[in-house]
Amino acid sequence: MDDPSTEPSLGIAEPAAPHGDRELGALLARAGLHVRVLDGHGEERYDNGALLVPAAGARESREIRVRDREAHHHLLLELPLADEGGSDPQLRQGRGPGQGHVEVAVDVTDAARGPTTVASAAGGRSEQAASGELGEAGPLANAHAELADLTADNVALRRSNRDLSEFAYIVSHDLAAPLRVISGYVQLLSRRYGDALDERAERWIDWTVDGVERMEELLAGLLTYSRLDSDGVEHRPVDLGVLVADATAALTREGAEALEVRGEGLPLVDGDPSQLGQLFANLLSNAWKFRHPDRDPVVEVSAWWQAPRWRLAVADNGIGIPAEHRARVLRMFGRLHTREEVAGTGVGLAIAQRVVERHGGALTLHDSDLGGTELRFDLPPAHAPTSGGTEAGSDELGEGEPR
Amino acid sequence: MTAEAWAPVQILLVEDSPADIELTTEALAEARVANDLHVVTDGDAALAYLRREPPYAEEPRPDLVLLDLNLPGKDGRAVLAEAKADPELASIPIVVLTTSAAEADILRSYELHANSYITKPVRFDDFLRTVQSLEDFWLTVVKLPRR
Repeated sequence: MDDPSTEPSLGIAEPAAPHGDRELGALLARAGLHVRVLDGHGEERYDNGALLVPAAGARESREIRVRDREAHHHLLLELPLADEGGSDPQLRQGRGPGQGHVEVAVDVTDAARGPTTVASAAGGRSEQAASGELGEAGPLANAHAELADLTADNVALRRSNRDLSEFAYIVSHDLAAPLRVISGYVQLLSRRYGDALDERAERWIDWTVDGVERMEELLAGLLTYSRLDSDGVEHRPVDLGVLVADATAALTREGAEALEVRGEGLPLVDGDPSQLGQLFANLLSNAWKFRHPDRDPVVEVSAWWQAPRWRLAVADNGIGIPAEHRARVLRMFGRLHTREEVAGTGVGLAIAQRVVERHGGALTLHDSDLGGTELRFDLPPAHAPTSGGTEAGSDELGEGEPR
Repeated sequence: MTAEAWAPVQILLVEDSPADIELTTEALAEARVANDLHVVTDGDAALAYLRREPPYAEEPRPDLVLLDLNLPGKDGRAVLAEAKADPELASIPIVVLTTSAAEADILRSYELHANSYITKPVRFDDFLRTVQSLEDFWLTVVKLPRR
């Protein structure tokens, strides 16, 4: 399948820039790894063009969403070495057949530079051994020179992420206790001394209680969000059809009977059942909350195979989100509407986005054909195709057959 | 058969926050079932009370324990573990009352055989309802088998 004559020539002999090398992106492309970097608006900032390299055919597609609070984004990519690396001396050097791994980093301050190698390993070997044997020439070798620094950065970043997530957990948990005291006693005052209070005092008490309840909801959202990071992601086959049906039933119980949920032939994906349940619950709940006053609310969940992952779309006919506000609604506590207009805390989409990211994907917002908002993301299939087993649609961007 | 026909329910509250103690006291004062509330503020005192060690030798055996998980010194989890490991005390129903809805806490409490687990609600009305559900629990689960 490799046809050397059609492969782009690589400047192998030239040392790459100290950070980020276009050669690495091209190398990954030739190994069938499609890497895209998206900014907060879902705009593409970098694409290594794997899908455009005719000989390779993307084996794996990764989208990286650049977010300003993460200086570097790391991801682990699998290199199918058995055949794809075969004709490429650089990928092949020092490795037997099988799977290899390369960890790449993207510096968000300069996403257009593309990925940088952090570490790599061939199947079954230690990182050191593999990188030692690999560290000879070309862009990979160049990147390995930075290995120590970047690995240290990586460790520090992971620690900092963990600290942040623990902090959020502790804050959200421990702040609930004093809140309960405030709310409890204000209500007790109203209950026991209501006769002595005038209407205005009662109104102030109501507002105090409302404020406390809102704070509690925010803390609960923060807690949920922080748990997405602190709890590991389970990997189990999850039937999205069942998940959507469950989320629909729960929403109906909460009074959203009028929402028509369409979702036929949804696939089995690999993921964390509780996190994915939360994801669909949030997305369907948004479709209900942001329904259009003049239309019967409809939300449609669809899936199609785009190797090597399932692409999902959740489209509604609601009020929509103007393009300029899309980045904002994905942020924690980001809201476009007052609480008087639409209830909520502004954590729903932030949580949804985090769940998708924890499953290796990215969430993007679009206009829906139904007239409202469409959210798109991708999830890994329940049974990952074995090497060489890419199914329908592996060589094209178009639709495979939805299951 | 009215609730008033019963002897007062002896309830031991293990809670360190004065504000929470008083709130629980007020909620229980509005309860339908006559009850005597006893309060201790840390885990060691709770175990001493349950074992009727001095200075609690003359105190009644509680019908129900309301246990806060986060206590100074020996915390609620340790109290629960020791009480449930003690054959003399294992039959006393313990309801864990806490701020935390964290699953880890819930899991740990169930592994330690708490009889039930209740997250303290923010609204006083909800708190009252919680206390009332405790009464129902007490009436059906605890009191009836004894008669």
